Amino acid sequence: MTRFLHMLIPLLHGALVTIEVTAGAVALCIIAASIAALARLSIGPVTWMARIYIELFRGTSAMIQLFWVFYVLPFFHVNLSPMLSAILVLGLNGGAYGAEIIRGAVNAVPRGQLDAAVALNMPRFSRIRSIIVPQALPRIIPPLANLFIDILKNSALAGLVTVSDLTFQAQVQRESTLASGEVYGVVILMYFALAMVISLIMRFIERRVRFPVGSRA
Amino acid sequence: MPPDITPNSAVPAIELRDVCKRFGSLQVLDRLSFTVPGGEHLFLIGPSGSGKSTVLRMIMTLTRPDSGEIWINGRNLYPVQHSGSSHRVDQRHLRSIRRDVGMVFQHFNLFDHMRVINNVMEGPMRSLGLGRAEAEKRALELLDRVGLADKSRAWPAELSGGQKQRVAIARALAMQPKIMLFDEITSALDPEIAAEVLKLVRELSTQFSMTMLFVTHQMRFARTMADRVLFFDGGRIIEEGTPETVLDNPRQKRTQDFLASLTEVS
Repeated sequence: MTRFLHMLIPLLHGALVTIEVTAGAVALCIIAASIAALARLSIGPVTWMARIYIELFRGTSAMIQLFWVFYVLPFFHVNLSPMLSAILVLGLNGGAYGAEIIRGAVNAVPRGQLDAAVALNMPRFSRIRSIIVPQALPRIIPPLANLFIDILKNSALAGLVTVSDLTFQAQVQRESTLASGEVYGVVILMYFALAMVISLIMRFIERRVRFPVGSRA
Repeated sequence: MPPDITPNSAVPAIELRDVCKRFGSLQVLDRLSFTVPGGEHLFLIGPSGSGKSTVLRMIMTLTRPDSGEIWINGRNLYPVQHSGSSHRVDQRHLRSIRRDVGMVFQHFNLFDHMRVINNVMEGPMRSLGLGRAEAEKRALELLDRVGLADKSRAWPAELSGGQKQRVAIARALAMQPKIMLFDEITSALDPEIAAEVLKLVRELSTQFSMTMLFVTHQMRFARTMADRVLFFDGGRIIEEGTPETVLDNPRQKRTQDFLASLTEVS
């Protein structure tokens, strides 16, 4: 039993670090996704900048991106802490996917809804805030829940740049205790519990933003 | 006086001058010009794809003309900028003209994420800057007027088609427009419900003195409501006049054929 506790405490520490990385990355992801989606939906050079960002981060592996930030950027005199590197890469990576989720949902708002907003002479900002955003939100939340859970699981990459996250701690504990079954059993339950928390929060938000939709002409 | 205002005292409510529009290879409007005096009930009829709805959408600034001018209450929607080639639309300018125009759509276009009452309050609050209490009072009065006071807390998805269109009419009226555009407002409704909605519009037209433009295939409605009828074909007006002349004694073969095809259906 004490052996189990000795193993559990470092794993809990690891879980805390995983939560930190995930929370930071999710926050950055939301910001990056919103900005990139907005840029992608407007006209002018910002559209292209957003496209380059999205394709670059979506089209290369998160692990290599992390190695770039952690091992290559210092050559350009940019030194980020391991934790910050992980948050930056996971957040920007998720933001690239999130931007496309938001763009798709905004484009799916029926044209007639915007026509009606113009016919009511609403200012452009009001049209975005009180028509487009509330209509797009219910379509954004479920795929965003997937994305956030993905970020949680990908946060294990942080261990590759010396962050002692849950997976990193699991390796350490397995090597020192050789109790593979117990260690990985606990770890998988912890990941599952964390994913469930994200899932429940997102479902709660979804219930708040949902509205009854009949047949849409 | 700003350059986009004509110095004429008897300013028409709407004037189109040589308006052209093409969608791809299709010429939707072909050098279209017509004038609508204030208070007129004008009906635009003709076969599908003849450009009638595009005309309404242009007056509502939902579609931009390729060339030509659209004047509303003596103001040019898209004045040529002094900078010359600039084609940027001045949103403030558009908004100040659009304030006088309202529109009811074929598919209602109610805001699905808002309850009925909020649909009617939204325009006055966001566009006219009315306070919540005042907007709510105005909305309730109008919902009562269209016979839906008991549905104010319902969601659009819970309403029938006819009820949705009544809400849409109340929503447009809440802006107190001088010009109202009705774009095939009964085409998505079954005949009995359509008749009720048209009856409501007829009553409202006597209560509110507005310039009204209708795109419709309801000839009986046109016959009794219209001051003037324009018959569209291929993006041009090929015949115009009172409903008696255009609908009962059309001169053009195209008009006769179209009206004959309608009677066959009904």
